[in-house]
Amino acid sequence: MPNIPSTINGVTVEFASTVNKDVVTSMINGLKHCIKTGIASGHTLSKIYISSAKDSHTAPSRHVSGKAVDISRINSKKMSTHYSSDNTVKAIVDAIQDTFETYSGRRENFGPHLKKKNGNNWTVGGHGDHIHISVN
Amino acid sequence: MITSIYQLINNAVVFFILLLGVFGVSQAADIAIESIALHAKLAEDSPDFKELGGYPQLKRYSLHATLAPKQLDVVVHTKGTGVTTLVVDIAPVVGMTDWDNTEGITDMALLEKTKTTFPSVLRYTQAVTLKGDSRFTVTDVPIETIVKQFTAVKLWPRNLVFRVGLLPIAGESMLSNNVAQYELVMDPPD
Repeated sequence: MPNIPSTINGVTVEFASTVNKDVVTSMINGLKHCIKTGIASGHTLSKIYISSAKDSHTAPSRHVSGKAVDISRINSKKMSTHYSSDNTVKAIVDAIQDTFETYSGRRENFGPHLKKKNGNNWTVGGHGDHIHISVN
Repeated sequence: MITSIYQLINNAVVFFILLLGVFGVSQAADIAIESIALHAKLAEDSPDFKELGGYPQLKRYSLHATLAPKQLDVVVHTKGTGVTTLVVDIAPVVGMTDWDNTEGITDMALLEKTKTTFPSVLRYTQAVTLKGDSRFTVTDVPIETIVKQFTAVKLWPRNLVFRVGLLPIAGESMLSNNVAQYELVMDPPD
């Protein structure tokens, strides 16, 4: 499996030290689909922080098969503390989630903005502090 | 005459009480736990090092919001003087996740509803000499090992309760302050 690159569409990708970057190609394509400097109009995305990819989880989580990624910081700001108070963080998080919904291979899309699975609204707890996106 | 005998007895009683007080105070001892703090060691190349430093306090275990270290230190702040034993017990509060039916996404309501406090899974004892304000550290507590023990059977330790005690020494005036606990909330990684 390929590694998640350290730059996607001009956006720096920072990783937690525990991250295993090996994910399936469609997951990388999903990231390329929604990680862009101008993803949110009027705001600039310069860096994302991936806190988990193919690591830290237990089967049957899609992380285990390299089909999921968790993003928890935008421009070095933690979603847990900035999503509700920082307009730029909120706008970019919302835009990433909305844009990932338009990716043909998307499966799970859980985060502060929305929670969807296969395009349908989904009820899950948590995910106020990160975006969990996965592919089929 | 009667008055002076009475005064003599009275003075003797007062003297005896004072004597008791002096010896009582000199023999009284009290050791206590002032606080418990959990710390993680961060490598200099960690993305969090710049913001948090090399030895941040861990108030919540969270892969996404704070830190989820593989190991942590328990730092116990004590007061009083004496030679005793420090005991640290770690008891997990474990709940169900339903990961099999959710592709590994924790059912948080189920987790909270089913969480159960288990007996301690780790215990440390350490001979300590307390000299006033003192700090003792139990190092490298293997949090990841505890977590994996439960995730292997699709459960999650929602809390880890760190129960700390100083075994009493002679002449303690209070025992309740010899024990304390710190409850660490553990967020699932999904």
